[in-house]
Amino acid sequence: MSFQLGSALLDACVLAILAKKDAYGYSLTQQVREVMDISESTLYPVLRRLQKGGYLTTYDQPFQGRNRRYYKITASGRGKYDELLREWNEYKEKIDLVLLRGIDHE
Amino acid sequence: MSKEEYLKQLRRKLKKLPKEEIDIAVDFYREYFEEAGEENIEQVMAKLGPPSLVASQILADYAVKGLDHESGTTKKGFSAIWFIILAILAAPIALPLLLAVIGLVFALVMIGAAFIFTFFALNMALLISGITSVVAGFTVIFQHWQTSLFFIGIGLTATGIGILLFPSLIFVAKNMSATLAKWLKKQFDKMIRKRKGEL
Repeated sequence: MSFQLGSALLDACVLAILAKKDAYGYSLTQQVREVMDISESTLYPVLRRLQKGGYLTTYDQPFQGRNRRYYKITASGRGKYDELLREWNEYKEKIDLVLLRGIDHE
Repeated sequence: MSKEEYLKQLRRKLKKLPKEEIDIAVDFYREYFEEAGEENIEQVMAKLGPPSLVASQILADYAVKGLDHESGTTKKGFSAIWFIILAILAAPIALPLLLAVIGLVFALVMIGAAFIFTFFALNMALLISGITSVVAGFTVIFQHWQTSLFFIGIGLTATGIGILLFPSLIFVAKNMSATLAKWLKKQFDKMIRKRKGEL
């Protein structure tokens, strides 16, 4: 992928996934990696930062004799997600305007 | 390398962080390995990269975490810069390049510090010379009142400028270190991305 992806976009993706369903670290990483070209070690700092910002909380659940730490979006996380979604849409429209105008202008 | 060995190395690379942060990070990666399954451990390690890379990403992020939400204080900014230096140290890059990068960061910090110090010295000079001039003016008040007025006027002006500049000095000092830390983090991210062959 030749487009840079900033940390805001990464935050938005993580929040979007968690807005639908709680997830544990490994599955969350795989889900993000399906759509974005990030290295496997990129996601932990993102999750930790969002958690510290109060956008996510964690809870533990035993699974096959070991522990799974699930991430859950908070109310302020949902607010943040809406805000990022709005900003993304504005941004996308502007970029589309430029990219697509080049075609129908001819 | 075994899973335990990998995690031990990761823990060692993170030792400058608060204990709680280290535990949470190591737990995360322990769980990550377990989820991937015993048979895939080699693969996961290859994908994650060496423990030093994982650690340096955590350290770099930790550095700016505190800077994003509130206006950074000078102390915060400097500790952030410190963590970024640690992150660079932990990153798996060749030694000559590493030294160059550290040198550059150090130079930037020094330039910043020198700038603030110069500004501060100027401010102090204004205040001190202003007050001295006022005092000097008063001492000759009975011998030659014109001279006296001249010195008192100059002195008050200098003191006034000094007092006016002071808040802006504090402001500049506070923001400069935070801005520098943020910028360094950005550069660091770019470097890591390049090394991982991502764009």
